[in-house]
Amino acid sequence: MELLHLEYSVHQLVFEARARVPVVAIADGIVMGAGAGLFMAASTRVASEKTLFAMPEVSIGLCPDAGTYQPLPSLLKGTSTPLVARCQCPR
Amino acid sequence: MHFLRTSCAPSVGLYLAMTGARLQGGDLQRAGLATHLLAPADAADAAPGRAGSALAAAVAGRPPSEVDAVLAAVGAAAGLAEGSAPAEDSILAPPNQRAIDLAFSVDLPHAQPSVASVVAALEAMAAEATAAPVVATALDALRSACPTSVAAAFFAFTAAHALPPLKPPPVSRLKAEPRAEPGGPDGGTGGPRAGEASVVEACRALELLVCGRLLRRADFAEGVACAVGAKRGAMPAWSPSTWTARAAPGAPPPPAGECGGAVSDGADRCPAELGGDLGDVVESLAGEGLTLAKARDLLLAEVDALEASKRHAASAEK
Repeated sequence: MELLHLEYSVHQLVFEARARVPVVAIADGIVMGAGAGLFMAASTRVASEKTLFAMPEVSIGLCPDAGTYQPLPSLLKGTSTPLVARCQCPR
Repeated sequence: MHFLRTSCAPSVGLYLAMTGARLQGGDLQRAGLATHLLAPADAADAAPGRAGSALAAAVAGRPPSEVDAVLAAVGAAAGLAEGSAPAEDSILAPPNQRAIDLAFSVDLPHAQPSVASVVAALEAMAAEATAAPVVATALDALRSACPTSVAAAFFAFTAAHALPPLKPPPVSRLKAEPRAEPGGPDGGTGGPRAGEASVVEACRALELLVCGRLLRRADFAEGVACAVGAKRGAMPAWSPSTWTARAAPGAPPPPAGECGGAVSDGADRCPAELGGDLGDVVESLAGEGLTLAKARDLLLAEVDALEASKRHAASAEK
């Protein structure tokens, strides 16, 4: 339970970081589950032709924890260095 | 869930959440989930910490609008034109999109009121000779997925949609310098408004509550075992085994320990297997600010109560 709470808190912190810096998520491979939530939290979400996105939690008895997203362009006025995350499962 | 409701077509979001369907490549951008599309080589070049990354260097220190422009230019240079039509077998191809819009509609006045109505709409389309390919695919996915999870996904999606409009997120957790914009959403104080809870966090807290209760169910252990564990490759034996067997609103609560003790039948969409009270819990907490910490505390209290109940039962047997 604590781990789940931690995962959601990280997603929330990434979302809130958008108030200060551009947050760029790069999805260049398999992006599922928690990675999908992290991806969605970013303000700039980059996909490639190799990206495979899904929320398959219903197939293992869970519910998509895809998190939330709402464009907040008014918050993205800073000139700070972008926070770049790479959302990809190891292959 | 709020993201799926607001960023891509709501029906596509509900379809992805309930079926676990996959999106590939350019379809992410067409659906609105991705903002930019790059060639794989360029995406790899943008990885953080990559030595000599030209793209990472190109966006460093730039404001968001310029970051977007740089990424768009790189994508265009690779021949990845925006607005290209989806492939014929894509779920975003017009016939599939129309079927999804109809079966997974979440907008009034045609919003689907229940999982049963979603399945009924798909079955009605499947009976037609000209049914879009996605109809059979969606039905197969819904029938093989965990019925309680499907119902939970539907509940979470619709409950997130019912939460109040978005307010700016608090920034108190960020230890960097205070916001320099006097007219900024937080008034330039760097802290949250008194009593204000971010709807974004409320949606996450809602998902935490739903997933926290699902984690305690036997279906989760069964699903993991069949996916990667001892039963790998086997079909999971869900309980209830089909979505139609799911307890209807108003039905007696499941046995204690299955979903966290006290349950009620107050919610009209929340699966009884999750505790029929979850809709009421979300509604009551949303009024005072539904946060991740509150959701965690509630779940931990439920676990404590369950363990105490088991200890009490064990001592009574002795």
